[in-house]
Amino acid sequence: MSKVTFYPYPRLQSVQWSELSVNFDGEPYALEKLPDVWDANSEVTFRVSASVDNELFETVNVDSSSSLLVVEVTCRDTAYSLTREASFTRKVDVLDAVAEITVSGSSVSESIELSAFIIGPVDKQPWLRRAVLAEGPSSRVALNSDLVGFPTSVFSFVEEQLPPAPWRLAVTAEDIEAPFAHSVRLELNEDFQVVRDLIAGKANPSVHADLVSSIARVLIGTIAGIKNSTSDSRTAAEVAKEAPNSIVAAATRASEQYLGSTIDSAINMYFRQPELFDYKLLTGSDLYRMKS
Amino acid sequence: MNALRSFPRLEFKDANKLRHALLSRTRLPTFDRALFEEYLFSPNAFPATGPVRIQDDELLKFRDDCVTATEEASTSGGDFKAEFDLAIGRQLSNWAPIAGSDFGVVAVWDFITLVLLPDLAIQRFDLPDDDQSDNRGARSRLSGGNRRHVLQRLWRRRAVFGSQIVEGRILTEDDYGSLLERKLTLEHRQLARKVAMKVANSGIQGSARRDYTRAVTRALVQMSGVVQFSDSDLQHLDYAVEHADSVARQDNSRSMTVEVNLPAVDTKAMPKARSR
Repeated sequence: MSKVTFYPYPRLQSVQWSELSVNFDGEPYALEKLPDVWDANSEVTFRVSASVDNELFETVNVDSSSSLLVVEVTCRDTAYSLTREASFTRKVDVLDAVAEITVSGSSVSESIELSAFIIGPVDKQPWLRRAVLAEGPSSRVALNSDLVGFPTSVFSFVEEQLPPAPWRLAVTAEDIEAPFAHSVRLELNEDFQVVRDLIAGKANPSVHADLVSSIARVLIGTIAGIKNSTSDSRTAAEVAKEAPNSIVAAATRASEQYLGSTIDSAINMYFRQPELFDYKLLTGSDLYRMKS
Repeated sequence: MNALRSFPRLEFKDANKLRHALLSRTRLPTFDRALFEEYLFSPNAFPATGPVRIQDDELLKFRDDCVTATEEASTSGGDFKAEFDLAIGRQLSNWAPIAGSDFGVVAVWDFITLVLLPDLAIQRFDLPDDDQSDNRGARSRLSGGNRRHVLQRLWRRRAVFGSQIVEGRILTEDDYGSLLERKLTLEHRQLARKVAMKVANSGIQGSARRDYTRAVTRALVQMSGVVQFSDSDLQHLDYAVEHADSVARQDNSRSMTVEVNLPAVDTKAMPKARSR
């Protein structure tokens, strides 16, 4: 049994971070507006700055001249990452750095993750040369408007020759770590008046509650089914923590929000006490509850 | 023809329908020219803006390249699946500079697999005999975005490891699996290549090798909570892989005790640095 000690490595206690700002084709832009304009020909620049009190670097025993501000873009869908670095410059009592990264639309698609760090050598061991001294703002940015919100399609079930129902969920996940955005999709049947009302925002709140409980049931049931047929020593909660954009992470949030329990006990309940599962879900989703 | 092109997308519900038809054998896995044109010329096939749309004759050339590669694989005398993966991977990486980031788009893979190359895709893996049986495995092979996707994984392999490592056949299927299932090694291509070389040169084989690769990758994931990995700092990656190797070699129990009191780097937004 080996033991890796990752603590205590010191961290900078108070860093002033700027927001992550976006420049799209030369113009400032809001992060959440990117999916409206982004395409594979575009170039996007992200910028972040940090300032740290002079003496703060002494508290972590790192020479400020060997520290860097790093901004990173990663894209799971294109198996891509890019980092840019900037050194700190001294301004009286404060050290400032500004890092900027430009990502070509031909390298990334669907969604990207942005993050910023201050790194520096905290130890003689060479692998600790890029130790994280502080974590700055981070953000997941959708580039495809399809990936904003719950993945949903609206169509007529009659035209597709499907048996009628107000909605159904299509699940293609085959492991619980599968990216949520690509493994679950809500299909709404526009043949139903309630669905048309729902889309128009005019539906009875219980229709929404009913839909939410459908989604929660399918998410948790999917994880229960996959978990039951595969051998993995990790709990579902552990996997969710490791893969925050996965279907198991979504199911974990659903369990907490609608069942008031952890994903692992929700799975247990799903198999062993379906009546309790159903009851908790009806309670948690506020189905048919009169709001006073 | 080296300029970037937009590739056609297949809408989710159409992909679902075609996938189901193939898996339930209600549709023969053959290339259907009429169906190809129907989906290629449908109004939602291409994004409204972006690179020039790929033409039908270019797509048919792409198909021809892949058909020829499959024929070569089946007459090579080697194991068909391994030869197919290499030959098709070669074609996909030839076309990758033209597709650019469109090869990261799930709906593009659904079009390529279900409309353009259904016959080749089905040839690569065995359909389950009974379509009512748990066909999750088969479905994942035909679902764009899934890491077991029959074609997309071949492109991803080339993109991450480069042609030298793939053509050199130095990695096993298990090695590819454990390196590509982790976000860290999937996205940090240079790191993945260094681990690949380390594993290939380790001399470890069989199930011990699988455990070793997993242990190295796990150690790197844990280290990523402490250090920042950059594909531009190759020397640092060397140091990191050395360290992960020494952790993995000490770790013969397969379960490691780790004290991590730090947040992982890729979790939710943290607007301010933590103060503790």
